[in-house]
Amino acid sequence: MNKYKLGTREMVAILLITIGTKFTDATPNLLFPKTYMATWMVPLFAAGMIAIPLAIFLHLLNKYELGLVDLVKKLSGKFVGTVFSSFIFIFYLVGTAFLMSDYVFILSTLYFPQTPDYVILVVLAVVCFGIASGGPYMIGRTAWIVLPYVMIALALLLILAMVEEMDTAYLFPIFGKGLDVVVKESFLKNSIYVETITMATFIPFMTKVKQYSKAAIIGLSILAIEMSFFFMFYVTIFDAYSLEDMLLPFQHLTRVVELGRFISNFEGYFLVFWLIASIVKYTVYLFVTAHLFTQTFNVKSTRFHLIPITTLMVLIGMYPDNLISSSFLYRNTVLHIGSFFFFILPFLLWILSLRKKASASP
Amino acid sequence: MNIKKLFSNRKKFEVTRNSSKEEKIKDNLEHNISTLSSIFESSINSDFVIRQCDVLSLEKKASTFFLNGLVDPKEIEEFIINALTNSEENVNKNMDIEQLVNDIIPIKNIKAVSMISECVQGLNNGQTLLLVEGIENGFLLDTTKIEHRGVETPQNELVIKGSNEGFVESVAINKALIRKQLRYEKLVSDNVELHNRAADSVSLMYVNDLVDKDVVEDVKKRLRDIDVDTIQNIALLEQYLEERPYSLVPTILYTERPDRVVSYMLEGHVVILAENSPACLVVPVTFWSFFHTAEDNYQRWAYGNFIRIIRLLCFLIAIVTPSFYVAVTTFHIEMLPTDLALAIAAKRETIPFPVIVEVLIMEVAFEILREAGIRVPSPIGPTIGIVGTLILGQAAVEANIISPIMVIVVAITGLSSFAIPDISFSFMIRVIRFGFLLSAAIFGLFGIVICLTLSVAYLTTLHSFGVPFLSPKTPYNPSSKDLIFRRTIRKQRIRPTNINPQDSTRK
Repeated sequence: MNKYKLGTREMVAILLITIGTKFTDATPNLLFPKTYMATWMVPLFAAGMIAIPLAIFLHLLNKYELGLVDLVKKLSGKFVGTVFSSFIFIFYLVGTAFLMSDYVFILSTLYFPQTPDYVILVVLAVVCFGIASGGPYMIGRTAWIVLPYVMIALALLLILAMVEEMDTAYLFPIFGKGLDVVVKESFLKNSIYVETITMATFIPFMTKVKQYSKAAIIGLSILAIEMSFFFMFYVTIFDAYSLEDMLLPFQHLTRVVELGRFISNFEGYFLVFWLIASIVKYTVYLFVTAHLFTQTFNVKSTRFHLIPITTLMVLIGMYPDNLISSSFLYRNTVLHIGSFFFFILPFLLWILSLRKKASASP
Repeated sequence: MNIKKLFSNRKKFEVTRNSSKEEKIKDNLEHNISTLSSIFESSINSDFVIRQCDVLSLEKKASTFFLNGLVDPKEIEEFIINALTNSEENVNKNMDIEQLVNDIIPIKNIKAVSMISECVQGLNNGQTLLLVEGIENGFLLDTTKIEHRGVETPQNELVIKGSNEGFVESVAINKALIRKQLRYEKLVSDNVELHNRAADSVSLMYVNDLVDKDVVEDVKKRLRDIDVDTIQNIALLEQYLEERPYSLVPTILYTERPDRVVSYMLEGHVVILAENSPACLVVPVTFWSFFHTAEDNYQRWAYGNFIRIIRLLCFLIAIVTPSFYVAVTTFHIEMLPTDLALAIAAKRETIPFPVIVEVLIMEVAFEILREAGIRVPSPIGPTIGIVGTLILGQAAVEANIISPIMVIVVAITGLSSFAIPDISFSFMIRVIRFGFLLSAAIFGLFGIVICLTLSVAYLTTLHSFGVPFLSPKTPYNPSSKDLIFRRTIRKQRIRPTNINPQDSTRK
């Protein structure tokens, strides 16, 4: 049955869908007011920054051939390992809940103004729970099946956007408010790529650990370019200063594009693909969170623990009052904490592994 | 208490039923005759024939037994009775008796048996049993001739380009049709006896140096586990073999075309044939098999892919059109071009129902029309057309029950569902459409997306005889990528490795 486990393709799909939807939510709104026209550099810089800890992390993964939690536990001991991995678990639980409420606000504001928020939240959570309870193979394979369609939709959007008036002059001054700001923001937001590290939770379900490294590298490079491309499009179409006040540039872009006089409202068609990607994304997060929990506390049956974790997520997700508070206040903080933690963690693990080697050799 | 008695009685009955069958053939002919007579209920069963005669060349009494209707009477008269009674030549009486029987009876296949049960099975399959006084062996002579239809075109899988021979209700003919297309020494037909009351026999056909032996064992195990009176045909067998009886998705392919069967066998699949079925089963299969037709590969690359694109389109249209219409007109009216939105609104002004009710009325009416069209006796068949077009199409619109655009939606949906090549798949789409409709009525596009994603997710969990249903797409396995689109024939060099063929290159 080894032949039918997850491979590089499924992992790339998971990464592309989880990270590759970040420029479609309120994440650009966290960046534009800081870096303005240089925002398109942030994904590239952030990817460059996370590449170093990621390389160390992948090296450790290949060396020990373990999943994320097992690796942390093996290298930092049982107690500290549990503390670290429960931190990752809480990071995921809270981060996912806030992100989910973000998406619910987007949906309810733009497409379902008459539906109560919590109804959408609960439905989304129940659907994601349904898929997540099918297990890791179901999630990975679903991601791989839907990926091409999502990518085609995104490509189509870009092509249609090119028809619109694009002004490359908006991209200048090239560094926006200064290179230092860009570098600082890139570091603080490098946790947009945190999935390249945390998706190592899926390693027990993969054929080879090597495939994970391959997927992480491929995924990171595609994503950096994809995200930067979209940010560049946002700037050239809308102008960085108006983006400061414009919530959800992706949704705006889908409203702006048109194909002649007859078909002028495309957003519904893009909504379909955006929703498919979102459902898969939350399914992945839900499963990862539950799996982190079961691995951290050495309990069995991820499927069983999905129920309380989904419920908890819905409850936390109901807490923010609106999109502004959920994304600017809470998610921003979660992202910053994540950036520091996941940047340092691989270095820490590396040092520990070197120490272990040193103590083992004599 | 009573129930317990019932069961204990039943057990006893089974013992008596089996006990006479498990006997050996005795050297006393009279005794054998009476045993067989009681097994076949010869006092009331007029089809069971016992013909006694004296074998001159052996100077012994003999009896032949057969079941009328399953045997060729001419063959029995000419080659058995005649040969037994008229043998004038002097035969060497010291010869082995088996050899002697072989010598006197000019028939294609003679099998010596020693158990009564073997005799019973042979007789049930149309063979003639020869018992000779003083010999503890019986001889089963192959005289089977069962009536069946001649080879005709397949009913459901027609092609424009390519052979149009379809299977008929006889395993022997079906095997011949397969062998005619694949003359290869490693093509085997493996008979499996079922452990049921009628002791049915099912044939597996596969290419022995390509097939995955585990799948063959799996199929055999499942066949042996079937515990019912009799398996009448392959459609029933399919339901005994499948893993998820409640699932909407079929996991066994039912096909009437020998050429398709051969192409599957060359990929390492196993084919199951049973009596009385103008079709056979192919296992393991994947999602893509249900989507393909034989013609896709017969037509040139561009044409074949063109019809596949059309079919993919039909597949999507058949599933989502009605729900998309409901979602757009109820929740996302801005998606429509303004003129069209106004036109729809104007037509709907006089209609008293919400869109979902309107769609349900038409969809149900269409399904009724479809079912009635199949069941209606052919002399009054044309009525269906008149009723369908006039009442459902025109009168309903004029009576302000439905809007004209609704007729278009339902018509295109129905038409598309006819383009789905596999009957099980077509049923799946017809049923799942209503699920999509309801969720679209509640959540608009969000509902459709939920259904779509859940359907894809569900498909990924399915297995057909151990092979993931969406492989080789995911989980990825090397193959010739004959999935939604196909490559040119020359490039289809690799067998799909997801079904574990022993040799992955075609040569």
